[in-house]
Amino acid sequence: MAQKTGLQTDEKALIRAAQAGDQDAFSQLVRAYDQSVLRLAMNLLRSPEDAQDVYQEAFLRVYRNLNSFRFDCSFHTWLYRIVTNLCLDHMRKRKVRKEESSQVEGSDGPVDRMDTLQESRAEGDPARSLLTGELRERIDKALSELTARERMVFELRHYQGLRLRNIGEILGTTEEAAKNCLFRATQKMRVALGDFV
Amino acid sequence: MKLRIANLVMATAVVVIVQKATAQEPSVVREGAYWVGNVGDSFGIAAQARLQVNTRGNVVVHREAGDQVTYRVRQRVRAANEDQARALLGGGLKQVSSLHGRVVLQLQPISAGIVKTDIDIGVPAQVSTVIVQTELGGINVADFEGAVQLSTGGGDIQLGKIGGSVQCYSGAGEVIIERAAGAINCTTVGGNMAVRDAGGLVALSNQMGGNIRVDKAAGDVRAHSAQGMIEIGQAGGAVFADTQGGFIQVGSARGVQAESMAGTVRVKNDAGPMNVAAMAGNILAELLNGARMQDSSLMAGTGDITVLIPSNLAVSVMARNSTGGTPRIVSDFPEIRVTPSKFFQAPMVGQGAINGGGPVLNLNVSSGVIYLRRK
Amino acid sequence: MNTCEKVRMQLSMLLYGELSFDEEEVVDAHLESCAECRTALDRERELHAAFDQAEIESPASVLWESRQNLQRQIAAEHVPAHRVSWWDQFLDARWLQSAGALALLSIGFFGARLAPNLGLGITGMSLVDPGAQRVRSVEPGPNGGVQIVLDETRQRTVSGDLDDQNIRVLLLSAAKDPSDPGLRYETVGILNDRAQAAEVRDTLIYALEHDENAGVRLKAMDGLRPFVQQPEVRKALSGVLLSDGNPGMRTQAIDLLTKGVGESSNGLDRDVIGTLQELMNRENNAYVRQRGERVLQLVNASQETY
Repeated sequence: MAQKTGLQTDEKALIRAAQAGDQDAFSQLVRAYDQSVLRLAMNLLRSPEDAQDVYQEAFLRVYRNLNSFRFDCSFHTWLYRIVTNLCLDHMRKRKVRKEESSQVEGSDGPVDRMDTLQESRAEGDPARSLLTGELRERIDKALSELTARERMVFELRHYQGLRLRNIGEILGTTEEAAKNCLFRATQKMRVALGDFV
Repeated sequence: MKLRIANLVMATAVVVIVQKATAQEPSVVREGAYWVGNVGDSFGIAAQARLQVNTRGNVVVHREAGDQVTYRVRQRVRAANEDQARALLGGGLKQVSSLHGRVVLQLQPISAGIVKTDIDIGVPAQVSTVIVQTELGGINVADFEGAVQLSTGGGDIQLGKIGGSVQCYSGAGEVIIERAAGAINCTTVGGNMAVRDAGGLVALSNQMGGNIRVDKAAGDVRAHSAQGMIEIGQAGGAVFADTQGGFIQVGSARGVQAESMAGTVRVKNDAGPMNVAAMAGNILAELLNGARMQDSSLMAGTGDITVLIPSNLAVSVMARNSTGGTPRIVSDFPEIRVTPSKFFQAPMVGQGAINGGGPVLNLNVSSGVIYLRRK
Repeated sequence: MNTCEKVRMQLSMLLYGELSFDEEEVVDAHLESCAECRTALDRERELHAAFDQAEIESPASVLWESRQNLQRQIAAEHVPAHRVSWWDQFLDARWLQSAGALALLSIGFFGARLAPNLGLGITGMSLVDPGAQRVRSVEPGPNGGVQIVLDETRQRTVSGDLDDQNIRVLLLSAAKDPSDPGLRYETVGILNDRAQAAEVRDTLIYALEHDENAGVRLKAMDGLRPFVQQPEVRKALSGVLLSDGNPGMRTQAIDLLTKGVGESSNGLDRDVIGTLQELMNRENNAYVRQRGERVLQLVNASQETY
């Protein structure tokens, strides 16, 4: 606990220094968080280019708006508000693109062209971990079928390990709403993967 | 294993395709420099059904007589000739399906981004809930008896008279609601939000900033703005308001919890507790005549606290002013004993029981003046 | 729903440690006595473990590149400390300026109408120490007038007509008060009624471009709405479109800028077209993008340039 307080005090000092124009302080601040930001963006967007875009835009916004940061929430929460909004924008945009371009009217109703692309996409993706084959594909597909917000809450809770209360704060909603969202997400994942696990 | 998946699919997909897109080409006519494509149809819907519309473009929902849902997609594009226009307008998915009392109308135009798409939905009174999900574009519902759930990736949401509850989300844009009989729960990423008259609870959240205004609400009001002003006229329940920059103003409420990082907080309270914090800004709190007060706390970082107290209200006051130098507590009430700080930098304390005393009113100022005024 | 069903709904939240103390008690107690639910919990664990494996690590090179790019972009930006001090200096300069103007103009005016409730029978306004003076609050007064509370060594209230030059000067400086966004908002709201005057419009444009508070910026945009045809307003809106971090601002800005385009014969000016083309390179809000794209096509602008 004492350690935590110490860390926060240091961070406050860093933020204050960065607010006063200290470039080193700002870059230290960036380094404290940028790996987890990149990991979040990468996991959500599954594209190094998009993740880099989010990274740039997020920290530039932090840089431009640091003076309006008033310590009313933790810096982490503030930063994640920015990052999650950017990611959600990307995800929605991508969803739009996907529906725009890939839904075609087949003889048996709408067919998703993306389905046929799954294999090649998986191979082309860098830095995939060991899990291969069907399960991997199913998880990806199940994740991609969550709504942007469900996906976000699931990501923040499961992979980033944030508490729901904090997630609610970040996404501008209540803990209860975040919980419902996580519940829906895990429910959907369970249904999608039920037979594989 | 495969078999089990198949069963699962069978079990969940009780989807009845009521109507499917026909291959028929939409009519394309010339209007001035534009080519306009119109697609429309109607279908019956059961009483109390929920209607969901998934689409992309501006959506207008209006009331329709009878028991048919009507829809019309009007697309407009500038093109050199009809062939080019048809190519730009593209095709799209048009499908009606129904699942567990929810009728889903898919209108997904696959058009070039430059095409202006307006969707008009006529909804009969027997529909209980309208759900609109548009990828992009504004949503306008002038008058609907039931509940609405609306979301758009970006665009303004404007609602007239809604008989049920309202849920809405905009990725960016204003949210304006004239009247809703049920609860309101709305979020926008950025933009102003206004509710004129709400029959129930109101929850408004503005993720990146914008002003929030609620004229009248029968229940509790929750308002959150990342940056912007919050004005609540009259709340039948408690008000919970917070903004990171901007003033908060509450005309009347049964309990107030307000936090402003920078900006003044002005509050009139009828009943219940008041918890107000202003980091940089003044607090002006008016206790209304005959108020049923509860223990309350007002805290100002840099700024003054002024409390207006009706002459017949019984309340116990505990005021602390920690301003350096010579702190001030200014009181109209002889019952309040002000103890000057005994040594340098110690807070000045004012306490006492007005009209015999009652719920405790805690006042704290770090840098400013405390005024206790008789109303 | 029987107990088993209820408990199974909560298993995932149990693993996430997101059940309340009481909920967890109930689930634990049930698990002790129910072998089937324990099996279900094991399955849930396996499911969670499977999720774990779906995580991807970003390659180190991506992080490195990102840091480099950020550094480059920041170097290209103004240094914030510099901006702040510039802003502060600007404000100070304005303060002295407006206070100076007041000293020259004010005596008759301030003597005329002072708020009676504070009983300050001041007949002339002394501005011995203009730096110590500050507008504390502004609100609409009776008969379309306005009331301004000033902080000096003590507070005083002045009131007068919006068109009064002295009142105007105070309002224009209050609109830029850095410490209180609420004050700026109310001031901007009052000034919105007088936006036909060029100096008021300048102040609104300044707020639109520079105010750190989105609420104040949105309010300023309201006031500029009727003047959207003015070149300086269009320029400011273009700036909002390219650099305002709030998507609500950009949404309103593009709606204003592109309103009626294509309806009349005259198209858009070249600057706005340039802005829209630039917008296509950077906009991440789908709605704003789409509007921009459509307008560019309507005015037959070359879309190949982006």
